[in-house]
Amino acid sequence: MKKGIQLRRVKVQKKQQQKEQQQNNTDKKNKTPIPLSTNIDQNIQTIKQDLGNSADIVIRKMNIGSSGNDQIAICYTNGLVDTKTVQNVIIKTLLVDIREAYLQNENKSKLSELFENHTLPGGEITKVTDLDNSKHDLLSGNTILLINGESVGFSIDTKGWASRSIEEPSTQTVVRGPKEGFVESLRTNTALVRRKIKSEDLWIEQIQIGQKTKTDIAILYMNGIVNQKILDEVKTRLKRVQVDGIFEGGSLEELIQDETFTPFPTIYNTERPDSAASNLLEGRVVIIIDGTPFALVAPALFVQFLQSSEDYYQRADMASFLRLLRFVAFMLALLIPSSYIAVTTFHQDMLPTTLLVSLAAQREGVPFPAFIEALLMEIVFEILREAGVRMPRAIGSAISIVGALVLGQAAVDAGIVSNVMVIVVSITAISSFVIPEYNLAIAVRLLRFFFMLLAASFGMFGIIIGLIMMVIHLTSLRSFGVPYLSPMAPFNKEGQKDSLIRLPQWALFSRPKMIAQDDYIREETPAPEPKNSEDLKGEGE
Amino acid sequence: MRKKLVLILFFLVLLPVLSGCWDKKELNELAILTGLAIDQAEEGYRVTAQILNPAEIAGEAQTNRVAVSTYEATGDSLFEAIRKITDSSPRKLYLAHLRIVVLGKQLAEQGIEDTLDFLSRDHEVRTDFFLLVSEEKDASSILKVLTPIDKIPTNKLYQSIESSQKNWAPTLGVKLDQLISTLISEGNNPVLTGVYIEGDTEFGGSLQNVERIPSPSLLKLQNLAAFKGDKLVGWLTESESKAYNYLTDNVTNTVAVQSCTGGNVTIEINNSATDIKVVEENGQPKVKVTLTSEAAIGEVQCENQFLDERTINELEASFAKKKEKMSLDTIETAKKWQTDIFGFGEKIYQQKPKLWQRVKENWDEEGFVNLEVDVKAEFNIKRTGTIGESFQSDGED
Repeated sequence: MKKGIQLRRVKVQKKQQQKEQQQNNTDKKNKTPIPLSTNIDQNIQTIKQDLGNSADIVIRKMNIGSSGNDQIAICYTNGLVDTKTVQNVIIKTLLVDIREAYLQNENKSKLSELFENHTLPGGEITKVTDLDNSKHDLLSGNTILLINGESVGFSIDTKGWASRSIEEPSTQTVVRGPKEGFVESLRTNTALVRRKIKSEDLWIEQIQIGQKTKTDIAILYMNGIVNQKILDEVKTRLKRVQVDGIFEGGSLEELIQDETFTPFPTIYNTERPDSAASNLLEGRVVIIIDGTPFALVAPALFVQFLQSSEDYYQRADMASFLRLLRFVAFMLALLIPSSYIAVTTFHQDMLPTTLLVSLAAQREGVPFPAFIEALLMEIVFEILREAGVRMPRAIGSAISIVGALVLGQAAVDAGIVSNVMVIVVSITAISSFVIPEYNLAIAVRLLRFFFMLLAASFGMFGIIIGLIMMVIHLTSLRSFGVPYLSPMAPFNKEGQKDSLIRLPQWALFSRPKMIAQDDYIREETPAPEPKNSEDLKGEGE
Repeated sequence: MRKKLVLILFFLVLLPVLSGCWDKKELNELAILTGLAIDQAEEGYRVTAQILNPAEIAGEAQTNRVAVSTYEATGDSLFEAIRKITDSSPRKLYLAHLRIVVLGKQLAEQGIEDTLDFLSRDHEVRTDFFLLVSEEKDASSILKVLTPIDKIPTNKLYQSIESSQKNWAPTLGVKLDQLISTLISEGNNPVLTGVYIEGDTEFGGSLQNVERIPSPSLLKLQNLAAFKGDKLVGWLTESESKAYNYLTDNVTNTVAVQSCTGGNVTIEINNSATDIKVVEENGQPKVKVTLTSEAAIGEVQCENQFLDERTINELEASFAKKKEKMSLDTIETAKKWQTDIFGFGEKIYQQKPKLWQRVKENWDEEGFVNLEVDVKAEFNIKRTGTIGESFQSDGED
């Protein structure tokens, strides 16, 4: 009891400290920026000091001008800038080309004006007047030009670091469809989307999150289609985030999602520009984070996680079949082990006699109850799977040998598990791989154990109770205010055309109603009505 | 919120401990019972249970043990006797997969109603098993015969009932719910198919029985046992059993044979419909039965038999005549036993309920025995098989 109170006190104290710290932080933010000094040496000194003399900061002082009296300095971060640009263009300009400008400079205007108006190459040049901004630009890959005698500097965009080239996405693969995927660079990613949607309505807003990392985050949406309320909600939630750093969408997702205590993902993520673009056209908001190839898409619906972008590139009938198949696989992955436990330990009368006999024959001599047996196998499988993901690629084949031969065959031969259980676990595993979105697939993995527990205690009755609980939970979920189960609950007739099945493209003239609430009717394309062959013949002749 | 969640998780973990899986039964804890034979004992019942040995039927390493074994117990009531079997059986009997119940001849003669109570009351037992009457003195011996092809003898019986009912008319598969509904309805009496062992009963229970072609002892279904109320009163012959099935509209497919000059002609009946009409004549009921059958010629051995329209009409007429006679004979037999197994009384009740109120008193003994039944059979031979004329008739003389 006493301990509890003490603990609570400690917590309270900590909270107070945090508050104070926050106030300090806000003080820091609000304090007036230090302006650049007119003395170039002092500026250089301050920058060096503030950055702790870091090894990757390069500062080069030089004398220019006809008389060589004018001192300037360029600072850049080695590795973040394109060295060619800095050396071949900027330094060359400053040392060589500037002379001509000097000769022509009859008005004797200030050096900074000269630079700004005449000589500095480079597309994106901004004036900097305070130290903080120049340090920030310096660390983002810009080159800072400081001039002696003036309290104005220039920040030249010279970003150019080694980055992965655009490759085929490793998740969400398709047989037919675009093979390009997002990369780690934010600019490339927005360009990939921009290349798909050339409309002026594609608006990109950029903010920075992470007090230390200052990660660039782009918010993409289609102006006019997006629901303003949802957009505002996304922005408010993003602005609320106060963390040290964001390295992947996953950590940002946890900070802005609607419901934490749920196994189901309420924000969609994609590695595919085409998927991001089509989501934009449906009125969703896409959040691209610098440094990760996974873009977040909000709001997300449950059905979305069982759809693949290829559904729209294959024929409608095949796509519908595959979608239904995925729903079946979803249910199988969720319920097969638990149903097996329920039927074999509680409802043997549900099986045909011959099937019962073969199952019973398999189980003769197996020492554990069906539940323990299933739990054992499922856990072993999960371990194998995790090992397979984390292991160095080179020894990957060892896992399959150990897994398949030793654990599968030998366990059966040794009489520890029955053959049927191996089949059950395999079907479950294969079914869970069918779910196209990894974050839903892992939700199923977790829920499977919950259902197994229910089946072992209450049989089929338990499974039904579990399913009811799951559906109630799903209906209670919201993704940025949009019901997670829509268009099933609340039911929407138009939405059915593109959820469990996909109708032909010409029938899909509406956007998801719950998402693009204001403007949900698209331009309508009439169904193709080919002229009959007689007419075509006539035209030819 | 977090507190609530922790509580919920805590309770979930407790669930399996609390419930203790009280009615869980692992597959290898079950004695799967597929056949039950019930005999009259001096006091109460003698029950024989046929239990499967799953490892022997579907296991990987099969030994030369038998696929089924039987356990016996005697008790004052059926339930008691079944529970008593646990004395000798290694596991508790699991009744949901019961396929066949064989009733002893003696028991059937004494009355079966008391026996059926347990079978319809117990929650484990389903109603989709067939009931048979043993023609042997002892029903238990039926369950002690190994069968070739199907390792589970009761499964063999179950399937031969189904197939013989479909393709050969003189048997009838009666399930528990059917039997009970016939028993409780007015103006109807049940029948059950009989079963007996053909051949040497000595080898029946040993593996030797299935090591030979042909098996020394075989389980056979034959003929129908007629009940009056719940008591066995007599056995119908094969042709009577078939006629019974015609009259009660249970025939789906069968064959009929008629002699002709030089041999026999056989037809396959593909479709048979029975129409029973009740009319009132002088205040007494009269039943008019119309049997219509569709048939195809299956085998012809006759001399000079040309299959033209005239001969086919003649054939139709002769088959119809035979069938009418067969039916009337069967009705006569039932009248002799004073039991309305055809359910004529029920038909009267359905069609003329007021008349039924007048005649239902002592229906089996008086009404049925004096009932006038008109049987009219119609045959319609539609096909002659893949050949028209028999090639034999051409070559002769």
